[in-house]
Amino acid sequence: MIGLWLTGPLTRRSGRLLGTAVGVALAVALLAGLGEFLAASSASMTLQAVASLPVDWQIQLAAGADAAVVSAAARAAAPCRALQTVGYADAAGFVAETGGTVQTTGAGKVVGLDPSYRLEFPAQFRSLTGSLGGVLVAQQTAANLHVAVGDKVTIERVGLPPTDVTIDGVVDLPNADSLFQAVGTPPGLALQAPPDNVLLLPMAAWHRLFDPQAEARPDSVRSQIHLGLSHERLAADPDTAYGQVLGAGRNLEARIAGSGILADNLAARLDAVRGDALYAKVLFLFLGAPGAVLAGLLAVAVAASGSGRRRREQALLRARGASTAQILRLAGAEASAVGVLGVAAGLAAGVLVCRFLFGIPILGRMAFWWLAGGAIAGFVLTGAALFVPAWQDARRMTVARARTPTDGSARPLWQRLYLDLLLLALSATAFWETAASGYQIVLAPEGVAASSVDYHAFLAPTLLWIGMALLAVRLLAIGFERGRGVLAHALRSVAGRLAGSVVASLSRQRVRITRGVVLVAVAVSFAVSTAVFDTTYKTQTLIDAELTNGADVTVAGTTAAPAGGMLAKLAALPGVAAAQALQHRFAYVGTDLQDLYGIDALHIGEATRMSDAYFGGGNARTTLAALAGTPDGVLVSEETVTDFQLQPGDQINLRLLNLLDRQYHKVPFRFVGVVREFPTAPRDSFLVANSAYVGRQTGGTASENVLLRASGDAASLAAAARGVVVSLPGAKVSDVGSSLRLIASSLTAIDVRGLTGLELAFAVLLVVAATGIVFALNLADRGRSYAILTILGARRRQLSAFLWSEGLLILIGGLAIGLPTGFAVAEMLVTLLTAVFDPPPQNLSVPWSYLAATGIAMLASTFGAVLVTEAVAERSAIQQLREA
Amino acid sequence: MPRLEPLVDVLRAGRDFSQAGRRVYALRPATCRVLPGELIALVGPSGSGKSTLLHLVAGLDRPSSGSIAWPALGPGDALRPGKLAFVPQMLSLITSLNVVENVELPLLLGESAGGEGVGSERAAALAALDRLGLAALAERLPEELSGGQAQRVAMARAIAGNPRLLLADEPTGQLDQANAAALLDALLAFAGRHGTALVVATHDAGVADRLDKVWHMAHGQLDVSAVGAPALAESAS
Repeated sequence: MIGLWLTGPLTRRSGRLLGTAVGVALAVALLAGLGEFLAASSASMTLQAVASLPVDWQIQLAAGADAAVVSAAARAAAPCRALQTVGYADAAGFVAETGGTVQTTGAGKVVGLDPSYRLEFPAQFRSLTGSLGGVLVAQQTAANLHVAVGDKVTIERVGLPPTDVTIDGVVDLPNADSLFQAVGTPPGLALQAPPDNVLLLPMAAWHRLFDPQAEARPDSVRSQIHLGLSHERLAADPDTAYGQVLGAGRNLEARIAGSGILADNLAARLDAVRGDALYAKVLFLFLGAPGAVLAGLLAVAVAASGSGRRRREQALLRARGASTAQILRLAGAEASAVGVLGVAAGLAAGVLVCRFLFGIPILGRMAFWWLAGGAIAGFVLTGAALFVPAWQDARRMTVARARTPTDGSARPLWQRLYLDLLLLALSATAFWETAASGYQIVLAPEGVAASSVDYHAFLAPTLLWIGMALLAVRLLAIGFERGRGVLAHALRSVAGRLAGSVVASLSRQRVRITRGVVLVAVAVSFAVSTAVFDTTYKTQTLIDAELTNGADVTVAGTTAAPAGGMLAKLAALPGVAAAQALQHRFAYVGTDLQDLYGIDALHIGEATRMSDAYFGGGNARTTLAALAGTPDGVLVSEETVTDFQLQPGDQINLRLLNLLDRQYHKVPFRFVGVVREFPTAPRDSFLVANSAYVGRQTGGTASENVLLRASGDAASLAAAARGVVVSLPGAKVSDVGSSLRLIASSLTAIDVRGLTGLELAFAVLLVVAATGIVFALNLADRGRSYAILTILGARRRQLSAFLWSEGLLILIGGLAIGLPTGFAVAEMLVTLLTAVFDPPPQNLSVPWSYLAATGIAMLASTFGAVLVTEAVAERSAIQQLREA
Repeated sequence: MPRLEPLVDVLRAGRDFSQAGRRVYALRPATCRVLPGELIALVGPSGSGKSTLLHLVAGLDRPSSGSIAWPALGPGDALRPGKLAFVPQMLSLITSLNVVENVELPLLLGESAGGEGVGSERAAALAALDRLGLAALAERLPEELSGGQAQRVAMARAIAGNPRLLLADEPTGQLDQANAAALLDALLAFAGRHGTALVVATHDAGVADRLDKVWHMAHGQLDVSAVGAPALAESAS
């Protein structure tokens, strides 16, 4: 019997069942695809994070501790692949005599390394000149001392006579922060900048020079054990991996209590990444969940569009003596068939999208659970869409009630309670509270295994979605009740003299129309909010890339060979919209060496973006004008303002290197404002001043760098610029594209880009489905009415009046409600997820082309649905007559 | 006496369908004509082809063979609404419009109703309802009507436009005897007043008896030569 029954719907109602299956498939595909994507990116986050870490654990040995015992304890606590003992010694300073001048630095560090260290921890050094064996000098120190390979440097030991070493190589220390970290201080409590002056000695030489110092001044010498742990057993999820590593670290601390202190770099790195992973999950919930819910609503709406026919069929079955159980078995079989089809198609689509769009090859354990979850959700959804309504009807139905009813007029309870307005007010309050309190949506406190997401933040957008949907229902109800005249007037151009009849007909189907409008509105708002969020994120990534690179193209020279000398030639290159010189010097603020940028404050904005977010006052134009108006003005970082208790107008004495005598001299500056970020500047403290003043005070007006704004392709301009500076020693040319690739390969960036890409594709599908499929199925369900119109003699254009009026009402109503809701949700998302933006956006970026394409897809979908229905209605009049 | 131009001229018109690879003849080639003011009963058992013939005459369907012309009414695509009205057996009212809106709908669809405005159509619709004693139901929705009431409303809608030819498929099928008689009275009075020709497919001998001509149908074959309606009861069964 079930087979016989299924033959009917599968052959004669295949469109509606297929539509329901499509809705289920979309929901399943979205859940499974996003879940799989999330699982894969979490795993890749862990892999990438641990792969780039130079040293996993640094154990600082206590005075008198036995390095061999501690090493054995470390091996027992966690499987390790590399272990080295490293010596650290303080030096009072370094001195070098080159070119007839004597250079002296402040305090420095001398590190002792075994020759095999660089093989086991290769990421710690980058050779610039000379060899990687022997005595090495850090690049900054070499610059300060003006030394090169073969030069002699005197180390001023603490409490002992100075001693000389000969430089064998100059190196870059890309991980100086962790190499010289203060081990044992609580995170964030004693931030320590790496030393400006560093020498690296072979361990034997280091022992020879500093073992005596250790005896004389034990506080100035210490040893560390550096470990590279085996990563094979680390969990794929960063949060779980963090827990594993933290546990192993505590195990070690227990084993070596009193003998050493652990600096757990691996845990710290995973700690940062698990925040990213949590953000990815948050984004999944913020951006993915509404899509899945929408797809679910779509499936329910498609199924509901056949409710009239289902009731009639049930009544017929009942009249033929079928029991409730038999009717439910038939409904269950129908739901199962649709469920299997939808879930299978959804899972396949989810996997294929991930595989081919995002190149995710794995089907790991986490992905399996997401797929399983998606499948379960699909079956639940099918049950809710097909079986539950059938069950409700079977319980309540009588044959007499099987007649197609028009919509009732009783106001539901939620409308009488003004639940919609209440939800919107609650949403606004929740948003204001969360946004104004400077909260963090992802809470992953450093050093604490437990992490959490502030799910209260979801309250505001969730309430906004629901509130807006309910408000739309209320407004449409009011419109149908009180605005029939206005609606008839508006539809007169489409329906002519039939406008009154059309409006009367529409108003009596207000539940169906409202369902369509709300569905389209939700789909539109979903597409808009996702697209705006995505574009805003991309814009900020571009700004970040420009900030990192400096401009579209940056030509970086050195003080000895400044790129500013080529400014005129570079500015004359084809494809240059603007060119500006940028000085890059160093200045001591107290004992802290900071980067100093000298600019032409009035014109720097011509060559690179000067965002308001870069400056403390939140206004780039005002801040730069203030700097330009104060020749000795300087912009400093907030940290410096706090450390030195600065007030606007205060004089700051900085020590700048004079290019003539190669000595640092005191130069007075006037504090005019705060700078947070600046093109090419580092993330920590730096200074920005007027280049003319810096030039006058340092005996050299040359600008090390040149920033170019491209009028066309930045990569081509960079290539041309390389040709200009080919003769300039040490000059480097970089374009914004390379920085973008660098930024885009960071963890959060990958997730957001992939996630939103997936979202945008689904958003278009959902919008098209909402406008087309539901509309077409609604119309198909009213084929009887259109057949009667045809029998009465309605011409094609008159039939079209009914169809187009409904189509336009749903389309325009959906857009009118969906667009503002989408922008409101986007604004809310951008504000709530500020932490994923760097720098924070000043305003939303609107993807007009995507929105226009989505709008065209909507129109095409509606037009297609109307035209198909028009043709079917005309053809099916006789069929309906025969079936009647 | 001038010769009357026929409203409908059916010349060896047949209608067949393909069903499961088999050809089914719903109407074998038939020839007949309807003159202005004629009152014709079309009788025959269920499935004999009565509805198919009415659909063809109404211009809702096209014959597979032969031809149909409407000499006094004009081209086949300009019959409805206005010159010809068709009342189907079951498919009668649009559920999302109330009774009076249903009745005025063909008037609004009509080209001739041009600039008269909605008010005149509403008045004509109310007058048609009144003629069939349905004025009290004007604001009701179809779901609030009985099957018989709905059929009478459909008839009111048909006569509201003063057609020259009215085709009705079992118009009294869902009515009790008294209501059926009252409906037929109203219909005949209307036809007499406006010179409207009627073709009524019916099982009801009482209805057939009150009309001028009776056409018989059996197995898709039309017989227009018979007079009266013998053995209707058998054919209906």
